[in-house]
Amino acid sequence: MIPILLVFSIYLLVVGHDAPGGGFAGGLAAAAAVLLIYLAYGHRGLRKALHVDPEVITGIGLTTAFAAGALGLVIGEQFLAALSASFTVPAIGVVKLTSVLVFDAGVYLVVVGLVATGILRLGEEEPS
Amino acid sequence: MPLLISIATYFVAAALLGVAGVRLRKAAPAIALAPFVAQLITVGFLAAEPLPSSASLDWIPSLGVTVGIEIDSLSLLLTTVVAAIGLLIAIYTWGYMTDPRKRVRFLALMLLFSGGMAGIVASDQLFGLFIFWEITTIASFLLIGFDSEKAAARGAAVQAVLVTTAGGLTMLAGFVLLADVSRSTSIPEIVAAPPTGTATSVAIGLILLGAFTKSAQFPFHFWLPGAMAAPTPASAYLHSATMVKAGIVLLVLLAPGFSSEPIWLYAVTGVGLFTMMLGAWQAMRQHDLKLLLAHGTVSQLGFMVALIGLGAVGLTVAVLVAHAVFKAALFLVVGTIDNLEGTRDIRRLNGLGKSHRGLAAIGAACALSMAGAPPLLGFVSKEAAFDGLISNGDWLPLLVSALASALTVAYTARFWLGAFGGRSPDAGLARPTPAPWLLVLPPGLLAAASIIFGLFPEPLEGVISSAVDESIKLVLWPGFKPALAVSALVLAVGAGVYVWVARPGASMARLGVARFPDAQKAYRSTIQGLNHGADVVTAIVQNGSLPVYVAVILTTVFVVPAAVALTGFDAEFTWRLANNPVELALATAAIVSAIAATRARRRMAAVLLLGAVGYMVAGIYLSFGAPDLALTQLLIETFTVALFALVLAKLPRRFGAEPRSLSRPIRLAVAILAGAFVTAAALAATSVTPDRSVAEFYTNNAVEAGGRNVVNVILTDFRALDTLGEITVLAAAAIGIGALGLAGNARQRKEPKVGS
Repeated sequence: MIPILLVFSIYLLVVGHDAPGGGFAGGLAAAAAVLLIYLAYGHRGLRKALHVDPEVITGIGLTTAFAAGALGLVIGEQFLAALSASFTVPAIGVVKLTSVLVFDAGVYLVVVGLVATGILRLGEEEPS
Repeated sequence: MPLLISIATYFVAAALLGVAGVRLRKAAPAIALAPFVAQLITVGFLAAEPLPSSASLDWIPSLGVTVGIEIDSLSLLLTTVVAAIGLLIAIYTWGYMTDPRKRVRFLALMLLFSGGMAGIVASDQLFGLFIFWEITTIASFLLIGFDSEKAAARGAAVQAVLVTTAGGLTMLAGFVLLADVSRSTSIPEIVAAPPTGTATSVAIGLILLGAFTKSAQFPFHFWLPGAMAAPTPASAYLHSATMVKAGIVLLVLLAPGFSSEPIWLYAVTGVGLFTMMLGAWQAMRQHDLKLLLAHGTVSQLGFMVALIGLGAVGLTVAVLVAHAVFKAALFLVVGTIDNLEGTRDIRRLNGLGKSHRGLAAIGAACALSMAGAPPLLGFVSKEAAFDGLISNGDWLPLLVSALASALTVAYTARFWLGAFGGRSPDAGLARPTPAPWLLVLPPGLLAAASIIFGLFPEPLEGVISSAVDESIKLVLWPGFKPALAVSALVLAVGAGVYVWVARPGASMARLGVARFPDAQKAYRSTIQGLNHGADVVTAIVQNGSLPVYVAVILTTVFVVPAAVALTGFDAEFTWRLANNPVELALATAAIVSAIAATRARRRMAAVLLLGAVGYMVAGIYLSFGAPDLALTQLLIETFTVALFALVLAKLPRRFGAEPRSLSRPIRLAVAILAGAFVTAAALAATSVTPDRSVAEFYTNNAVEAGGRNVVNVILTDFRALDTLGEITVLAAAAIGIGALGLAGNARQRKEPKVGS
């Protein structure tokens, strides 16, 4: 169930621009996976599964979103301008890369980080 | 452009040292010194080219913010002073600090500062200058608080940064106003055609405040002696030679256009003269050599400000250069003494002149320059200043500055005799060891400069005259003129004052009679008052009662928009029960759940019922064809319930007694009003025929923006800045949750747990 949720969350993130989904929804779906891990393996199991502090995830997300915005500035357009480029990758087809996706990935990470922080801090086991 | 690049090298080198640090090993000194050398070479080449030339870099064109520099004789002269003294102090630092980590960190900060300073003296654009100005503020904060484990250093750093940033912001307001009335952001353009009127006077007043805070003028002078908590090389560079001169430089740049404003003449001259006296007076009372020099710096800055107030720009620059050279050297000498003897207190130092003749000689040359004795640069510049005051007939400023100069002679004598006088080395102090050459050479070279430019002031005279477009006279032997008599009188009176009160053995009580207002105390009580006020407000606003918070939020929700609505809203309410049976069923279920939630006895039941309301609403979204909204709503509801469940595990199962903070009728009234208002707003929103053009704009432009999901395109493109703001808030909330969790844990560990 957890891998399925994670794959679904990434699907939501990627298709978000053209179909229902996006960073917020994708992030929440991934957060559902985080919640499941917590319910199944407990506090320690979730910490282990995340590898890093949840605050770090939030930080990376925010940085990513700002970086995506700054990209537009560097290229000479406005802050947060939507940039896109399409590549044709053999055997896969046309791959569309946009700065919007990077921005949305930042949103996704912030949401996951926030939920993980909440679960880890609020669901902390009582110190015995 | 070469100068702009050479300024940029400071920042590059600072970043390199800051990031790579001690891993650079042998390359570190080269990197630390390179920018200074590069800039001196650049200045050499530029001086040979026709002047003035300028270069600029558009930074934020939409706001008219340009980083621009103009290369003229003045900027080249000041750049030379900044880079040359910086180079010597960087070399000195290498001998002064022995811990490699600290040394590299210090030099990185110093380079950052130097870049800002080099930018200020070369800038010809208001906002570019402001940016460099603030860079020096930040770097100076980090340098004063360099010994961050000491509470005194941190306090002094905060004090300096609060005073100078407050001044910087005031100055920015002045810049904005000035740019607005003069329709230009270029300083030379503004000065060439200075605007007049009330707005200009206000702008100049604000800018003056900024300059006064930076240059430690009364009543902002107190941060400078406090800043002596910085390592001595930083004090030598920032708080004598460069940063405190930034305010002077700004005044020099603006003086040609605005020295005729009444506020300029009276405020600047008055403040300058008062500060000059205050600083000299305080300097005579110090036991710490470094503090003595700091108060002396305040006094000298006051002199420069007074000269600018009188419009004597050229003389100001002459005094500025002379002061930068001797004061930086004197600070370095104090640093060397501190390093050798472990103290800077003149009551403990004794006989250093016997054991360290070279250092004593260097100190003597610089001290004599400070006192204004021939044949040194300090004499030449002060003599010229007196001459200027006499020939202009500025009798009052002449009297005050002569008096302050006499006090300067007295504290100079106290400085040198306190540091180097006495017969034998104190038995309690370490055995005399020769000073390392790295700690003697830099002040020695600066002392040599004081002597050379004192004996041969002509080159400096030429440079300054062309820099400020007025001819000034810098000569070693002025002939028998009134100014010479003033100088001689000053030296004689100063010697008398020294013997009478400023001698280390003299009774301090004689000085204690005249107390100046204590600005330091005023600063402290302001900060305390601010903290106290914040405590009071927090106690009122954050009283810890959840019902009160909710009531405040809800009341705001309906009072503010309702006030707007009452003043003119004429939509007709049209309404129908439901579009289809599914909607009706969902809505009924939502209402029933909501009512049930208010009646629930168990906390968990209430949370689940609220979740049910959310699910029903998501269903309604879906029936309106908004899958994105419904998807997000469903996920959010799931999470809210799950997070509630985590918290509820720690709370009693059933609701407790009635909350006491708000009575039942009040809660009921707030709930009904909020509900009624939201209902009315929803009805109004659906009754108004919407302007289709907005929706059409979004749907038409979404594909062009690269997506077919309009909601998502709005979030990530049209309103991306909003989204960025929202996720920033989310991240802040995450940090808040983390902090709360940590605080809760700490409390749990401290107090034995009360039965759950």
